[in-house]
Amino acid sequence: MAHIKNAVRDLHTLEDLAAGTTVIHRLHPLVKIITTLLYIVLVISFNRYNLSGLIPFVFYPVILMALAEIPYRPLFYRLLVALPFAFFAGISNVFFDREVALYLGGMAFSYGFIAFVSLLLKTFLTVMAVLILAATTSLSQISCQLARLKVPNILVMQIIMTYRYLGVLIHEAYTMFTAYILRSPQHKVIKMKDMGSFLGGLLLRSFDRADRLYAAMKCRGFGGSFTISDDAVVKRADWFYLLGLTAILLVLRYVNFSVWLGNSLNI
Amino acid sequence: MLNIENIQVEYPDGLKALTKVSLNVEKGQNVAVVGANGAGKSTLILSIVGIMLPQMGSISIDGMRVNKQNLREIRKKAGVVFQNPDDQLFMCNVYDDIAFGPRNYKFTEAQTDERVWASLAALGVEHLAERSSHKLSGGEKRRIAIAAVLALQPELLLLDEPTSFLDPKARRKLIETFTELPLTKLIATHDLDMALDLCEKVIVLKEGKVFAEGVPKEILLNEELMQESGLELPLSCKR
Ligand SMILES: Nc1ncnc2c1ncn2[C@@H]1O[C@H](COP(=O)(O)OP(=O)(O)O)[C@@H](O)[C@H]1O
Ligand SMILES: [Mg+2]
Repeated sequence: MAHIKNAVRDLHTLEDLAAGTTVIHRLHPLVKIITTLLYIVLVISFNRYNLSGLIPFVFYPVILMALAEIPYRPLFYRLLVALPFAFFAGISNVFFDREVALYLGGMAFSYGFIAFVSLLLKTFLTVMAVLILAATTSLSQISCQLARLKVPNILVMQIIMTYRYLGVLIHEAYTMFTAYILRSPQHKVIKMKDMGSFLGGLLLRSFDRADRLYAAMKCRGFGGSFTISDDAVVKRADWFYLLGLTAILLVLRYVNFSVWLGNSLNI
Repeated sequence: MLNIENIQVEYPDGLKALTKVSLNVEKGQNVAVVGANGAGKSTLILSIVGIMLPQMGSISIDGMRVNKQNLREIRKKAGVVFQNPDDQLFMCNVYDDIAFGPRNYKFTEAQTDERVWASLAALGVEHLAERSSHKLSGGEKRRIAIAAVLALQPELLLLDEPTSFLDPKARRKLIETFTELPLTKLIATHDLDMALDLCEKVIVLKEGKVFAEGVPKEILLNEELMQESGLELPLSCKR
């Protein structure tokens, strides 16, 4: 029960955080989207055995979260959703790629293990980057900029609707769950035998809901395309942030720091 | 202003929601459509703006016949406020929600902005512009949903049970706001007291047909008629 309620609240906390007014929040949304994308591309571009090159990239979430005054907890909760996928996607490396790559403090680490850790780290970093973007830029700003970047309208619309709709779906589930529990007080969860009709009911209600939502949109002249206001102007600070961060990220990516860090970590 | 002649509306599953319904609304009038659950009130509103197209009969607004070709203009002339504001508000914040209509009709940003603030002001909710729609109270959501429709400056406002889900105070304030809106209104409602106070004309629907029509006092205070149509007397005259 509580976790459905939490899911609704969680969905909204990011939006609340996005209403902040720190330096990072005030940056032009387009600049934040571009740097986030650049960061993600660079992180992913690392060779799967290159753990040492990846480590300096941790600076980005740490510094941004500090500057934007984002609390750790809500982001880490969301991160927990993504990590298990990466865990299962990466764990096979450990079993199939056993050749020893290096010895550290007397322990042998296989290539597979290193690939596994670097996949987890990549997931952690990229998901954090997206979460930070979401926590510092409102969805309407993001979608507006996506439209500006010529991302097809239908896709932008889809993003907004999915996000909005997720809230509705969770809310419906919550309402139905409450009704269910009130009529079977001895249970704390939905019994397996009722699960089918519960999910079926949820689906029908959601369709109904979507139908009405769409009718309401048509009544206000919606014809498939979508416009959002774009009032943000690019300031000098935005250029500074964009160019500065790009430079730092490129240096971190292409200059080999492992030489300085000593050969112990070099792989 | 609104002319409905002998319409029949059927749902895809074959259910006849409205049969032989005719009615007239004059410019500036407030007309209430009352009836028990399932009487066809919502269906009537949806067919006026062509979400449901009648199988028979005709609907025209301001002399313009509602058909597939002119739905865009029709929906600008007639604005629908849905029963549940959650079905209507979906943007990230109130401002964008209200701007949704004008932007769809390709108004410039300046014109849109002007319309958004005018409708917020008309409903007395300017202070909510930056909030996210899903976090407002029931009464606030309702006002935003109405403002969102007003932003297109319709000539006819179609309201589906506007006082449902409201507490007594929010309800009373909303009715006050309605009296100040100089628009033609067709209000589907269970709230007979509102119909009595606000409207010049009542239409009683029963099982998809017009069961009675007339001045609110005569219709709503007629105990026998009300009972036959599955309704009760307004609270204000029950002792
Ligand atoms: N989407 C639908 N599909 C089939 N039948 C419907 C649908 N919506 C409403 N109905 C039926 O049409 C009739 C009129 O419903 P409605 O117009 O919603 O009544 P009201 O708004 O007066 O309560 C009811 O019998 C209802 O069951
Ligand atoms: Mg209804």
